[in-house]
Amino acid sequence: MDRQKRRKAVGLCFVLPGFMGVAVFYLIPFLDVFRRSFVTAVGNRFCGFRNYRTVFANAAFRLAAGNTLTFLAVCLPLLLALSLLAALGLSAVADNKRLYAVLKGAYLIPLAVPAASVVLLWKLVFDRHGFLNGVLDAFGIAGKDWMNSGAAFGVLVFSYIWKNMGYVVVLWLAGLASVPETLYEAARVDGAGRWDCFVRITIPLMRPVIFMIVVISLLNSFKVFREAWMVAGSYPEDSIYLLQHIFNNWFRDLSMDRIAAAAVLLCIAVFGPIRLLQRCWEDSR
Amino acid sequence: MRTGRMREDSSQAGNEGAPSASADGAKGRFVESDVQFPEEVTEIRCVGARAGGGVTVLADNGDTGKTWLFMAEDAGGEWTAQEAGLSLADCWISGAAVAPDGSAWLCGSFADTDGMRVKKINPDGVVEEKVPGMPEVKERDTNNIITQMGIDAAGRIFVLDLNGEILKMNPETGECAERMECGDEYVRYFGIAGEKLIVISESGIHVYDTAAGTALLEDVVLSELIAADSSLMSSDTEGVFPLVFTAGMESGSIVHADKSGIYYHNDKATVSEQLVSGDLNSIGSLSLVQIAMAGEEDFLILGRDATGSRILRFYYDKDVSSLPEKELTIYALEDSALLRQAVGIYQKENSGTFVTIKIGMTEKDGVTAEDAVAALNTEIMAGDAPDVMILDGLPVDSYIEKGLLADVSGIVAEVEQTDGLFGNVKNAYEKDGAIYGMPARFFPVVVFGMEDAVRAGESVTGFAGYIERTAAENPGKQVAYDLPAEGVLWTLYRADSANWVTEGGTLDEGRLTEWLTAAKKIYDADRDKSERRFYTSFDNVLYGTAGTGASYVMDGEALLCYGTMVDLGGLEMLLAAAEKTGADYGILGGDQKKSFVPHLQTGISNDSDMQEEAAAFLKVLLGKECGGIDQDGFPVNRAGWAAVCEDKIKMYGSESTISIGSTDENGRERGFQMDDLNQEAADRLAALLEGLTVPSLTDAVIEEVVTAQGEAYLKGEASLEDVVTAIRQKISIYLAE
Amino acid sequence: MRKNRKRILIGIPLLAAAVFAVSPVLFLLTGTFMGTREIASYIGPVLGDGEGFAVFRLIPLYPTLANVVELLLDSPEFFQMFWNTAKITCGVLAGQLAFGTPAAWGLARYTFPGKKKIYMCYILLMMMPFQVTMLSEYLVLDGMGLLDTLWAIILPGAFSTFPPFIMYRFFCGIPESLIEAARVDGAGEVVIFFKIGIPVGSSGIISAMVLQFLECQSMIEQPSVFLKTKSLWPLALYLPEIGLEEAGFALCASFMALIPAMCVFLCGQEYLEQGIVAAAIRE
Repeated sequence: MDRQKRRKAVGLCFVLPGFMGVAVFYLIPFLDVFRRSFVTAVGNRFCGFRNYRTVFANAAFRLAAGNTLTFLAVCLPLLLALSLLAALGLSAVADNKRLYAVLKGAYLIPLAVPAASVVLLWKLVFDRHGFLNGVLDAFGIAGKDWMNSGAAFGVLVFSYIWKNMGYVVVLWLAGLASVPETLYEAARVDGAGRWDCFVRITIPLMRPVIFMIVVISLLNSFKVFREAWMVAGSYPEDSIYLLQHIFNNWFRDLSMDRIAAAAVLLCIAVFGPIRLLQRCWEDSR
Repeated sequence: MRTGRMREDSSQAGNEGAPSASADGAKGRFVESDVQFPEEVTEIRCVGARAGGGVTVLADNGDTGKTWLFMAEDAGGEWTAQEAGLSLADCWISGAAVAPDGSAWLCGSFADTDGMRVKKINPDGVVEEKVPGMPEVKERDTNNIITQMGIDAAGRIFVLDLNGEILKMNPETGECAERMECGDEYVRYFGIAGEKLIVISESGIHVYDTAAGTALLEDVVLSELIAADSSLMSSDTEGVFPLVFTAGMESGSIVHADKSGIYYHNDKATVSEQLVSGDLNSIGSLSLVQIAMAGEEDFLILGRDATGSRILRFYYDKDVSSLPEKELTIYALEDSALLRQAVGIYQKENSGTFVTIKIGMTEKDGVTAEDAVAALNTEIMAGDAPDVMILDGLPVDSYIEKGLLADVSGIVAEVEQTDGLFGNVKNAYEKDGAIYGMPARFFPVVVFGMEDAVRAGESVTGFAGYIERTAAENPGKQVAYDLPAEGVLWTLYRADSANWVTEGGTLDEGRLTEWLTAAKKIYDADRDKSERRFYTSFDNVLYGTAGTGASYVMDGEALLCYGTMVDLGGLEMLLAAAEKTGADYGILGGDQKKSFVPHLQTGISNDSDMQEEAAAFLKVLLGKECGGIDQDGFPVNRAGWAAVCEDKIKMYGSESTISIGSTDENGRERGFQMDDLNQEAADRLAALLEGLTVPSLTDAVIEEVVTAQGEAYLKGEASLEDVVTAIRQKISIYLAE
Repeated sequence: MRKNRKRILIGIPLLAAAVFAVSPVLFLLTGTFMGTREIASYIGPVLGDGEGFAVFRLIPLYPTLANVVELLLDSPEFFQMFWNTAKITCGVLAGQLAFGTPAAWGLARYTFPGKKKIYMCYILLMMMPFQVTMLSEYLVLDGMGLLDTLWAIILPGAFSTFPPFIMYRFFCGIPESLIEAARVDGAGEVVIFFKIGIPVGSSGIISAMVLQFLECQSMIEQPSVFLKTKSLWPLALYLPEIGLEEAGFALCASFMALIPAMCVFLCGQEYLEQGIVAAAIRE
């Protein structure tokens, strides 16, 4: 009993110094944002849920929230599926050690390219007179102005996948390696096919890895904004006008009240799915 | 010298000038003042210390041809004048310096002689003339001339010649035969500190002993200075230098000054001490000519700015508190020479207040305007708003809506009462009796051409039609002085955007479409007829394009031109071209609302606890003295306008006509005889300026969206329909936010 | 035979994807050694009124070191900013090792009241875009007098919740039996952390550090808001300034800035994977 208590105290001691820093630099600022969501921007007077109503009624916010959601709905499954395919492919050639390592290294490189360089490249590739249109032209296909048409959304999705695929592949590889070979053998003896094995054994066993992949991918999907902003400015093509664009623009207009309310909403929106995922993970333990 | 004490003090005078670090109540600092010479003086040639103490200044009046030596024992005390027997009118002076014996030396070509001469003006006013025998110019068929002159503490005279070599002059004969051994590199400029010759050449900065003519050990402080800022390496403008030097009190020590301030270091030092910070004083707005030490802790700086040459004095005052009690912060998104001059004027009258200028975006960093505004907004919301804000490029409407800006109508009214204002500008900013930001400057977009062109220019659409017709009638001929697509849009936006806003505050799509069509016609008329003259950094080039364009009209290279006219110099260029071609000018656009471009729109933060000081600064910025500077737009101040006119008419209208020459990109000389500006012409412009009733749109977001999309349309990459749709869509998001 | 064909079938798309992923870096590398004129002639259409399309070649026609020389010898601000980035990165990583690692260990291996809430809190805070908390963070830093010092960037970075989130997973993966065995041998809790937690979780710690390292290299918003003195700015703020007009120089600067990140990443890669495998195997 006493030891139990002591261990609890020890655990707290490990966590506390770090948590105090987190509290000062992240939690307190966030609580301040929470408070601001209930007061007016001018004069700091309490105004109940007025900021939330303003935000909900705001057409630009609805557009941005919708775009962000669409972006996530397209990006996350696509990234997860593509990288899983790549990971399965890679593990099939894993016996060629050198090829395996070179390929994996290559996939990881984009993550290391700084945003500013990415922007420079995107400008050259997706310009009206850029490389991409040049290549298309060589095949007799008429190009388009990628960043100023509906295709901008595709460019953004591409950019996100290009950048994050490597890391997710590595995570998948690790997850796949964690499933003991014996389980598959046992299943095969029972007459299970390849697909059955994958659905019944691989996926359930990898739930914790999936949780981590989803959280990291979600986190990184918010980071794609900087590139979008640097390439296309504060008012990009309609389809890539994201939540951060509106946060940025509100900040320019000193509308901290709206930012705060929208941030709290975002927090709630993120909380739900994460909680759900976490549940899934815990069930698997 | 007070090296020890200065070390403590200099920590407070750090470049960013934050006063918070200092101990309260510390006393003593360098105070700036202007050395006043009689009004007759129009040009100051050189300043220097005499061996036995005291200073000598050589100055003259370019119109009357009078020249004086001014002498004082103490720079802050009485100055005595000694008239000298020579005229510097119509002379070209390439170098001047004061010798330790109190004589002044000049070199250049004088009105009465051919070729290079050296003149020595003795303290009693007697002039001696010498002929400098100089080596031949290498590899070029031209006579050698002296481009810079300096005198060391022992009276040795050094000159720089066209070969980029430093020569020692024989003071008796004036002969410059003895070459200083400074390596083979071309010397860009030099400075003298005591008996040290400081040479700036391609490879950096080198120090020589003037007595022995030998190289000294590397001066680490100076070498690092040059390494950190390569712009200090070259002296592009004749007679002014990025760095100037003089000797400190301690033997072998060097005092140097650049735009960032005055610094001191001795032989052994590896870092210099900042004595005076350029941020807090007028040095930052001057081009430096010379620095002299008038006594212990007493410096004189000779420099030039738009108003001419002047001498600033910095002396150490033990009794003022080491830092001003108050700090006034001024924020501007972009740096402006005029703003810095205004700060200089304010600072002289209010030495008890410490002014910090914060610039959001500088050329050297990668901050975008949006990043800069975000940083500023963070400070504002955190309660650290700057006291005075130059609102150009900032989201003014949001600031007003959020109650950030104080009503300055009282201050404006006060200035109006004493000096008078352009009422049209004031009225444009007055809303319900309050003014939340008042521009100090404004300027028009004008069209210059034959009478029918000027008439057509009353509306942008009409102008476009006229240009289109003219282009068809004159195939192959350049119609308008042309600009790149960005430049066309930038200029036409300023001429017409005021007409786009409907009464409901939304954008009038019809007007916008018409405007885009017009811009395209104007751009297409001259497309591919000449190589585009601009490729980079349009923004600075676009101020004052009317004058530049007029020179092309005058030379028959274009039939007409349009652009901004930002100073009387620009008007003079138009008038000169008008004289020759019979063309005329008028306001472009605004058949409905005639608009002006506001500049240096200034507001005061409501949160500031420096209301009084901020108001005083705004008064200076809007005031007569600042208004009397002819650059960056016309002053809203009437008295300032009158002063500018008087100044320029005197200058341009004097008997000796001034020709302003420039060389174009083909190496051709363009010349202007500037003698057409008279009161009548100035009054006519004033009347036109008075008729401008609304400011062009200053909303940065709208301009960015419209010009970015418009460019695609002008270059033929997008259809009018697509462009208008894109603009509509983006602006509607903007308005919905 | 059949197996080989299958491998080629799988290998080709994988290889193509790899080339695709690496091509931008190759582009930067080539651009680094290309003269301004040569680059301008290739990418001219993007820059100005030129017609046609931008092209590029893998090997410069006229290779030159001019860009490298200009960057390394004539751009003192590049070095200044490079050092600032280095200082920030070192500070942040040291802070994460000192505070983030034990926090992740505590959350992973002990139970105490509020643990789950703290963990959830870490994840949510990790997700918040910077613009949201920028103002409040500014107020905190202002209150502590840290504004306009490198600490304003280092401290928040050192307490970022992302690395603990990664390390947490790894620490969870250490088999309980290992720890119990140590306890039976009489090891104290702190000793267990140092003797078992850190060595066994080392690959997890390293992969968290690698990711945090990359984060430090690309910080843009924080320094531009919290640092007013421009001589304190990191490299990420230097890069965007170089316009397309000086593309050769821009590509060179980009490439140089990429080198440290790539080195660390490629060296850390091995651990990154090992760590995840190790963590997952216990299941």
